[in-house]
Amino acid sequence: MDTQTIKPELLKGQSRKMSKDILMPLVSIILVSVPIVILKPRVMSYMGIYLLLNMAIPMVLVTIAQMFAMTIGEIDFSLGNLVSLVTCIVGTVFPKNPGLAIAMLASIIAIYMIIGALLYLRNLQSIVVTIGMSFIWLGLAILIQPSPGGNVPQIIVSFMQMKTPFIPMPLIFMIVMAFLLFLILFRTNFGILLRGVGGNKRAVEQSGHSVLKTQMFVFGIVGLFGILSGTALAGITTSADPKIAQNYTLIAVASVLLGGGSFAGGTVSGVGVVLGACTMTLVGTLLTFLKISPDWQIGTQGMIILVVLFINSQLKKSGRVRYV
Amino acid sequence: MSNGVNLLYKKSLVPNTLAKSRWLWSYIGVIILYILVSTVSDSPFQTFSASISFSTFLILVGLGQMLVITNGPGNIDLSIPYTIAFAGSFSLKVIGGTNEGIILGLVVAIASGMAVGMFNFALIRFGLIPPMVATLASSFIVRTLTIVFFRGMLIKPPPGLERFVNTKLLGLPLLFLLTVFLAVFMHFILNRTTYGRGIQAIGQNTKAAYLASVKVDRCKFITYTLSGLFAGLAGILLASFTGGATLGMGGDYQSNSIAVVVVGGTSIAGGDSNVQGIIGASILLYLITNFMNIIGLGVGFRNIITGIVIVGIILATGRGKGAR
Repeated sequence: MDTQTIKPELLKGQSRKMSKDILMPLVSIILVSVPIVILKPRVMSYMGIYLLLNMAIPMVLVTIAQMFAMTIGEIDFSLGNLVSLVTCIVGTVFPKNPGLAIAMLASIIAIYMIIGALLYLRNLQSIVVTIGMSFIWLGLAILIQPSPGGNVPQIIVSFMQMKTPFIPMPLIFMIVMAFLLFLILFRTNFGILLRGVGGNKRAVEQSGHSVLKTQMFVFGIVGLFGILSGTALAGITTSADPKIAQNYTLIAVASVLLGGGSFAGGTVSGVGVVLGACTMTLVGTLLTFLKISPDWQIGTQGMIILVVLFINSQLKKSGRVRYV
Repeated sequence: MSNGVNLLYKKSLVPNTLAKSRWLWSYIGVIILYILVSTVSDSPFQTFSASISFSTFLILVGLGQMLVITNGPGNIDLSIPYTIAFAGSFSLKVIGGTNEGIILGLVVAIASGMAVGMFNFALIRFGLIPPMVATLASSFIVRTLTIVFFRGMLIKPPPGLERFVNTKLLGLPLLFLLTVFLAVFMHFILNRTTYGRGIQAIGQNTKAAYLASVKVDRCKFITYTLSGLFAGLAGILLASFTGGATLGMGGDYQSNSIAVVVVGGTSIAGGDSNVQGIIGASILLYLITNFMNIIGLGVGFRNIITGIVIVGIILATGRGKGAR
C-alpha cells in the first residue's frame, strides 16, 4: 500500500472494497433481527429498539477497542478484565474520590501506551503480554470491589438512560460510531497508517513513518475504548463487578471477525464492526425470544459464530488451499 | 529508526545463556520462590509438594497447548477449560463411583477429549475458521453439552482413583512423576519424530514446510487431537483430585495454559518449543499462589503478582529477533 502519497483514486478504491466487506455483517444482522421483529413486533417501537440495543453499547465499544488492536495485527486478551476493572473504578472509587478515579483511568491509558511501545521495542507478542495484564486488571478490580456492588454516579446512569427525541439514543450512538470509524479509518492519514502497520510494518517504516509512535497511539485508543465500554456498562447495570465482563474479550474478537476484520491485520471495516457487535448481542435476545433454555444459549451462540464464519470463509476462498 | 531504538531492539537485557535458554527463567523463579517460602513457613517442602500436586494438571494441558502453539501464529486452543469439565463430568458419571468402572472412565475421558480436538481440527481445516475462534466456539458448544447432560452437579470420583491421584512416592506425588515422564516422552516426540519436527517446521514457515513435503494436515490433526486428549485426561484426574467434577473446574486453565507455555520458553510465534520450561512455569505459578496464601495476601494481590511475574519474565526473555 502506498502510504506516502494519498491519491483520491486510492481512497475511492478502498471504500468500494469496504462496501463488499460489510455485506456479510449486514446479512447476519438482518438474519438475526428479522426473526426478532416477527416474534415480537413491538420491538419496532422507540422503547423496543432502546431496550434491544442498550446492552449492545458496551459490546460495540469493547469491539472497537479490539478492532484497533487487530487492525495493526495485535490482539488484546485483557479487555474483558479491563472493562470489569473500569466498572469497579467508576462504581466504587469515583463516588468516594473522583480525582483518584480519573487518575486511575488516565494511568490505564498510559499503561496501554507503554505496552504498545514495549511490544514494538522488545518485539513481544501482544497475546502473552495482555494475558499477563489480564491477571493484573482482575487483581486490581478484586482489591477495589471484591463482590458486585458499588454506587455508580447518577450522571453516568442517566446518560445511559437518556431519552433522545424520535430516534432512540442507542441507535443514534451506533450510527454516529459507525460513521466516525469510517471517517477515521478511511478518510484520515492515521487510518491509512493504521492499516499499513497491520498490512506491512516494514513498508510503513521505510516510508518514513514511526511504527513505534503509531503502535503507542493505537494502544492508547484501545485502552480508551476499553474505559468507555466499562463506563457504559457500569451505567447500564448500575453496579461495579470485578468479573462482569470476563467473556467480553473473546466475544469482541468474534465480533471483529464477524464484522470483516482479520487476525492478520490490515483489513477492517468500521461499519462491519458495529454491526458485528450488535449481531452478537442480538443473538442472545433472539434465543430468549425463541424460548430456548438459557442452558442452550451459549452453545447456540457458538454454533451461530461458526456458521457465519464458515459461510464467510467459503465466500472468501479463492479456489486454492489456505492454511490458516 | 533511531540509533537508541536500534540498540534496544537488538540487544537482550540479560546475559547470553539466559537469553538463549529462556526456560531457565522459570526454574530460577521456582528457586527464588522456594527460598521465600522457607523464610515464612516451617515446612517449605510440604508447600512445594502441594504446589507440584496442583501443577501436574497444568503441565498436562500445557503440553497440549504447547503442541498447538508450536504450529505457528494464531494457533491456540481455547477449548481446554470446558473440555476438562466435560471429560471430567462425563467420565465420573460413567464410572458411577465404583472402582470397577475406572478403566472405562479413563477411556471415556480420553475419547471425549480427542473428540473435541478432532472437531476443532475439522472446523479449522474444512471450515477455514481461525483456530482461536474455532476453538472458542467449540468450547461454547462443549460447555452447553456439559450443562445439559450433567447439570453442572458435583459428581463424586471412585475411591480407587481418588487414592491413586493422592499417592506419594518419596514425598513427591506419584502423578507428578508420571507427568514428568510423559513430558520427557513429549520432548522426544517433538525433537525426534517426523510429527514433532513437522509441527516445528510448520510453525516456522507453513508454506516452506508444505513444499518440503511435511504432511501439514496430518500434523495439525494430530496436534489438536492430542491437545484435546491431554485436556480430557486432565479432566478425569483433576476431578478425582479435587473431589468431584464441576462445570467451572477448568476455568483457570484458559489463560494459565498459554502462560506456562510462553513463560516456559516456547515461542508464541510457533516453531520453537520447550517442554522442560512448562514444568518449571507450572510449578512457579502454584508456588506463587501458595506463597501468597501463607503470607496472608488475598486473591486480588495474588492475581496482580501472577500478572507481574508473567509480564516480567516475558519482558526479560523477549528477544529482538524476528518473531513475526
